[in-house]
Amino acid sequence: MSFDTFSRLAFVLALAALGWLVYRVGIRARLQRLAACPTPGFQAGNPALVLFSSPDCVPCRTLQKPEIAHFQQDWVSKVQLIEIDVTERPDLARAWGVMSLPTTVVLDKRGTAQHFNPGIVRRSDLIRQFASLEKLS
Amino acid sequence: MPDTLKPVDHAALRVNQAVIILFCAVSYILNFWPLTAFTALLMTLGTLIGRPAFAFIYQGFLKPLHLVNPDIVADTPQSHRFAQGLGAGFLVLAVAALLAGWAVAGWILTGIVVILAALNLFTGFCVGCFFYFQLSKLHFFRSAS
Repeated sequence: MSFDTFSRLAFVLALAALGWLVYRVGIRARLQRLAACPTPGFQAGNPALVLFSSPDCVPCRTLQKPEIAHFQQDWVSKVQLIEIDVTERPDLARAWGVMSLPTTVVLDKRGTAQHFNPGIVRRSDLIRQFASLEKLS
Repeated sequence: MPDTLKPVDHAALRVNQAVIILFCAVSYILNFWPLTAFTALLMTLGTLIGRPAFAFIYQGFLKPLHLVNPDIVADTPQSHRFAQGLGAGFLVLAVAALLAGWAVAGWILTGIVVILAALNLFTGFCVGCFFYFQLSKLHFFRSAS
């Protein structure tokens, strides 16, 4: 392996590590910042799934809501679903740092954000995220 | 909304993104631009025929060997096609820059494609799909609202 190839490989690995680090730190910082965000309709005692959507968000309607409906078949008694229309509550979207729709946030039973999911989140991921809350409690 | 929902295998999309990342990274590490050109060519062809560029790897090897299981959901394939076309456009520009001797610009453009594919693969945020739906709202596409 020539020095040029080795240095390029090292550069790619360093960038990948940096990207991973930024991603993890970014998620942690975002969750800490979200701890102070208001969540209308949240009732302490049960974890919640907050869905940010809008009436003209196609993937919200065609992908995310069916996934959540599928997820709720098993978790309906345990999880509150809070849907926020960002066209009605742009202040909340700004406060939560919602950059794209759909975005979902998993709150623990105290209302603290534990998982932030920009884009489509699958039923299997929601189950894993809520199962991790049960392990924490 | 006129956008029609069709079954889309997201496992094939994820394999596609992973292979694009791999090929672009290897082409940079080996300083071998033809691999970037090959990736750009397959992505362009895939966009034209409406399939993921590296679907043949998934269909031919990974799926039959049960290394990757299908993950079929009702989705808008147009958005993924647009996203792939966007990536193909960046890679075509990257190859043109590399051929013109502008190595830094060429590899930066290749890096952008890697970042976009990695965002989609690891976080589920499809930047190309985001632009597709934003442009759809502006009636940019005839097939979408």
